[in-house]
Amino acid sequence: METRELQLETVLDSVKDGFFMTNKSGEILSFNYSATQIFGYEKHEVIGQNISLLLPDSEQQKYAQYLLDVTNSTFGEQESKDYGVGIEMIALNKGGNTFPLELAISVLPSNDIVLGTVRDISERKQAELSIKSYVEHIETIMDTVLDGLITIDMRGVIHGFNAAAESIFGFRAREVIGRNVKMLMPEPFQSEHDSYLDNYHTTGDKKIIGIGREITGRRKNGYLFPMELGVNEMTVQGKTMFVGTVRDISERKAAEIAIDSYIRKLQISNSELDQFAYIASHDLKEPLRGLANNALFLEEDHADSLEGEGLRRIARIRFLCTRMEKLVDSLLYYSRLGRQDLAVEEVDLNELIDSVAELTLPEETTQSVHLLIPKVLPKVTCDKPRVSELFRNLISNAVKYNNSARKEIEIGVKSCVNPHSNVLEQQVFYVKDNGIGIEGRFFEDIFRIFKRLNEEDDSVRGTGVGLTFVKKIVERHNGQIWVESELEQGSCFNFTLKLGE
Amino acid sequence: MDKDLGLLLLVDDNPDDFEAILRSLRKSHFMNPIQWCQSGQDAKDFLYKTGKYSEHEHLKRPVLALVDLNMPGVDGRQLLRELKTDPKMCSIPIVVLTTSSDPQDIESCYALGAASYIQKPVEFDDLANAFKILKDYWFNVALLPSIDGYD
Repeated sequence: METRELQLETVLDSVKDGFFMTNKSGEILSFNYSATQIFGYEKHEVIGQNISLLLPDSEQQKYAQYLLDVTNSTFGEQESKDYGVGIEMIALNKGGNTFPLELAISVLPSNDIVLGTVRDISERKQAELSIKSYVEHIETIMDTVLDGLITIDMRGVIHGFNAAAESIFGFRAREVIGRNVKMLMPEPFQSEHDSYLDNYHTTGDKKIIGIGREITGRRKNGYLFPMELGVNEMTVQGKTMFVGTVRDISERKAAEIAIDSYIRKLQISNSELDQFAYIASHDLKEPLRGLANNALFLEEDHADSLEGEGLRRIARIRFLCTRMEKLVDSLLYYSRLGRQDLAVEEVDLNELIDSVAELTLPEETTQSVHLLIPKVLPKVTCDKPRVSELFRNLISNAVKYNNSARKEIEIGVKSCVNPHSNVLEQQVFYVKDNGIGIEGRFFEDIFRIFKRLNEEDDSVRGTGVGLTFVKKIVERHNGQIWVESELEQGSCFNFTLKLGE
Repeated sequence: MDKDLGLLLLVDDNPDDFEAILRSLRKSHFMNPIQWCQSGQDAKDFLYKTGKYSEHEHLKRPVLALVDLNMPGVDGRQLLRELKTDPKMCSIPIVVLTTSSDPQDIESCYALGAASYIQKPVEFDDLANAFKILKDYWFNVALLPSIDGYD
């Protein structure tokens, strides 16, 4: 080998790309070190062989065509053709395995020599493949997402439109991709959208980006619907893109509107009911007073002619008038409990119960009543007069509906499960007695207005409003009340007061 | 009828209430003449000698008026407002007599110039007692405007 050729071979072997040289008929004349690495052959195994050795049958025609193209263009221009324009093809290595290859050849017109550089692109192909499968993976995920996802570019052109977006807007992805996102909006947003984008472009002023908001969307059939839109900005290969997350909130909106309307109706009906009770009670009192007075005047003016039976009936009328008056007053008071604002303050329950007990409990000489408060009670945020009334009612009931020789009342605070909500309440107040008890089937009835469980003498008979007031007061304090009781074993009234929470 | 006894004007739409008041006053031996008007408009007609009173001559000017608040048509509040803004009528003391104990009513009646505000007692005995005190105060203790200068 001549020195010049040796030098050339050394240079070629140091080149990173594979390099080979063939004559016009394809016989390999030179094969550098990188080429041996790529194809797995030793130099002497390929020198003198035809280039077709390195290609699978399926690629032979492609190579021949490529060589022809290069030769034609080279001879047409009478210049050596740079091998910058390469092709990708499949090659065959010594082990008989195919692999992707980038090939660029040029033809030296002077002596019909073909020069080729080759690069194994298996890794690049593999990377491309994995990106492709990654993209497919992402698309699959996007299509399973329940929210609509729409990708647009800086000009508003739609690039991505997932399955959920299709079902929300009624468009197929292929109908919208490449078109402007404006088509999914009603006026005036449709006309203004370009200026939003421009404005963001020039000022960076964000109308919607990064902030979720409720806007109106437009379906393919032209119907408008409320939707929640979140927009995020992202940069893809140096280009600004926006991803919009779309959620159809028609149903939620409809439900919200329905709930609002129910609440409004309920509020109106509640306040009308309170007004009704107040007005009715007021108006009921006037004829009632007239009735009582007329009975009185009849008695005063005609006592002589009425005699015993007549006088007894007049007395009865007057008694019933008084009774009705009490009921009407109770109704009035009940409606006032619902209407009046509470005077809320921090109240020491120990002091409150002390003063209530003093006024409510009978003299010790007549009855044996024992009030027990096992531990110090907390301070509570409440309306003091109302809560005093609550305890007064419960304490007097505990005494009144109690036939034990030693009447015991216990007032305390505990934590237990609220049966209304099945939630463990940390602070439940209770008033417990050893009285006559209540049957389970009456646990709800006892809180109904004017409902009484016991037959009583007219002289001691109540109006059946005490527990109704108690319940109303508890409810005004955002609390709940429930009773535990067994006949002959006593009752325990439990309630929560949650105004402070 | 004694010419020297001042006329009491009673404005109340409820005949039962009127009867009870009348009875209470009689029980405390109230001898003065009483004019009962069943509405605010009726009271105005009487005072200004209009409507059904236009043919009557020599109507007495009341020395005291007891006025119910809740009446149909011209109610007690309006009657009070109109009489107190009329220079010819504003000197007649007006006692408001009503079932309402609404603080707003009490406040506004005094602001309009009511001489007193009384809640009608529910029990007749209490009513009779209230009118005994009312009669003693207004007709025995207080000095009322002259009945002259009204024709």
